[in-house]
Amino acid sequence: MKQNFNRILLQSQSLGDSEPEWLKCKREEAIESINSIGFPTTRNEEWKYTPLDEIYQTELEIPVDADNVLSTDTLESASLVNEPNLFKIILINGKYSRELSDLEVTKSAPNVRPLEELIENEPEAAKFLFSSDPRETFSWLNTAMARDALLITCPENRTIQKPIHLLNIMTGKRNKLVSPRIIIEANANSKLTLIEEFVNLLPDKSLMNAATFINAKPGSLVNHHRISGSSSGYHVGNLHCKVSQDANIFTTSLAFGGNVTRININVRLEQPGASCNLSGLFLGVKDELIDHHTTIEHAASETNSNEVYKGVMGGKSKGVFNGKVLVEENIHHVKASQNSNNLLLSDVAEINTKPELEIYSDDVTCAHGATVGQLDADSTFYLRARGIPEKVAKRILVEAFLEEALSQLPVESVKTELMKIISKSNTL
Amino acid sequence: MLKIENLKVAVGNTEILKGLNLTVNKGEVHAIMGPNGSGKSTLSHVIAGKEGYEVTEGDISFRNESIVDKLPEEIAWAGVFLAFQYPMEIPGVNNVYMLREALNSQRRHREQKELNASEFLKFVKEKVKSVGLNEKLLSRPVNSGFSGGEKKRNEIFQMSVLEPELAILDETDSGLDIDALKDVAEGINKLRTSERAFIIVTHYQRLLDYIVPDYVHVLSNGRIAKTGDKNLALELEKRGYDWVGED
Repeated sequence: MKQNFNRILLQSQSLGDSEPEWLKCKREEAIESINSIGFPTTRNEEWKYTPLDEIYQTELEIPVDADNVLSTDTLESASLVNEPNLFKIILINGKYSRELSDLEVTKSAPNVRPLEELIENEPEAAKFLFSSDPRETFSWLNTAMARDALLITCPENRTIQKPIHLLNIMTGKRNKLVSPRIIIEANANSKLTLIEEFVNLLPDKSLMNAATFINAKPGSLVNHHRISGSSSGYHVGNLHCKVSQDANIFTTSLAFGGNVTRININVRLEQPGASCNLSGLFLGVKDELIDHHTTIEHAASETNSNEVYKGVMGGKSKGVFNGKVLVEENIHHVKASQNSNNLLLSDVAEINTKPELEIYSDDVTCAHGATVGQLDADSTFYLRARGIPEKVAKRILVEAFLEEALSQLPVESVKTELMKIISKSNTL
Repeated sequence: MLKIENLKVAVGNTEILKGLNLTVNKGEVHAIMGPNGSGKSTLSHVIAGKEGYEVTEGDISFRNESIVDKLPEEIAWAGVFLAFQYPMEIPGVNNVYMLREALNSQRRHREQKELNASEFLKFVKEKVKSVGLNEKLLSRPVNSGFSGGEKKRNEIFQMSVLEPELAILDETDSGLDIDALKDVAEGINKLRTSERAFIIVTHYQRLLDYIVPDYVHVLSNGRIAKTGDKNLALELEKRGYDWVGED
């Protein structure tokens, strides 16, 4: 069944000839790990709602340079983010495009360095791009297959004034496997906002397997938003965050469209005072499957976590939220709260939501709640009795439901676009 | 203006209205009183077009047009306003935003020019003063965390903005203390004109001390059992509902 995936793993080895020895080793290790564990199927508890067989059976190709061509028109229409005042970083098929990116070299700009440049000038920093080793198949797959990697650093005590827009585009011909890899270093007391957007311009059976690593050093503040919203394709997102003393990460995931979307978010609160706020919003209007799995590890005392995930599922779509919270032994004053609120807009749409709390310490305040409901008929009638047409009334109520998850997002255009998607579909 | 003829309404297999007749002309104030379960709320909801009620016989016409098969929004555009007994709390939807959407939907339907945000805000600020609603509540989510009195005042405020020809007040007095009741009644009285009609649905007579009706109807067992003037309300207050229909 997975012979096609094994074949693509072999492709990876042959493509890496010019790479330094350490990187070849890293990739081989990752492939060995994958081979020993195998790719997950719906028989694995963690993946039971996520059907990947179809993509496993597809002959995927690794993009070559000839694929990495994109007209300006296509580029401009690809993104949902239309705000002008952003630092723009563009990756085509996972490869950083200096020509298309817009970073202006000022003191307030982030420091952005791709893999090749680092291998040449700072080999030690290059190794750092591949130093994280989350023990998880798709993260290994990214390590094995990423043709490039981007290091974004924010110097100590600096605030990056404008949000950084990271646009990942998958394009070319035929079915592809694209593996963008981004490493974000927020140094002590720095502040930055990032919007990672993933766009698939390829046919149905392509896979974007993205890995993002965020390291929030002491006292830093990272606002991170991830948007995956293509009309088709498979998307696996792997986000790994480490949060140090008194640092704070806000991360939002907006997921809609696509065939199958699986997003794994892992946050480790490593030192006292570390905190994280996770929010998410997933929206299905046809037959999409959108699955968020989050894991928050409280590894130190005085750490806080807060999660709010909202799903709106119409048509025949399926939504999944699984939120694991792990509190390690012998730590104190830990607060964790988790909410999963979902709205079903059709009789056949589905939501599966599950909290998973593993708590090995006593001094913990932990709250979780999950709701699944339909649009309130009385509220709809109330608005209609005021003269608001049914479709608009329902749209207003869905908008209101999503507001909490969207309130942190710094770009208005994305909110508007989301509501357009809902309005255009026949779910209301 | 409003003409209800032999109206029979069922919810599931239960018949609630059993042949109700009522005519309301412009400028008139009709009070509909009756014990719990007599069908008062059903009547308000059916006029406003709420789903879940089946009209098995008879008709409701508004300005000579049947509204029985019309959607709630179409009935609103025709000029009917229902002030809810329990106004819905809608967190996340701003009060002004909702009301502008409502007014502009109505204006669009009537082929009038829509109001932009600043025109609407100016229009609304005049209205808000006249009904005694705290201006701060305008920018809050619809009814969210409002007190009982604030919710009812908000209903009257919405009515003043939408300027209906027929306003139905469904138990607007319920849950109000006497001061709030007086305020709300005053707001309603300010909206009385020779063109606008009111149907005041209430269990108690006390609201009618402040809003004097032209007609008082007693709804009993799904029909109008008795019709009189304001003195009928006083009699009901003294004697209760049991004697109605005995004559």
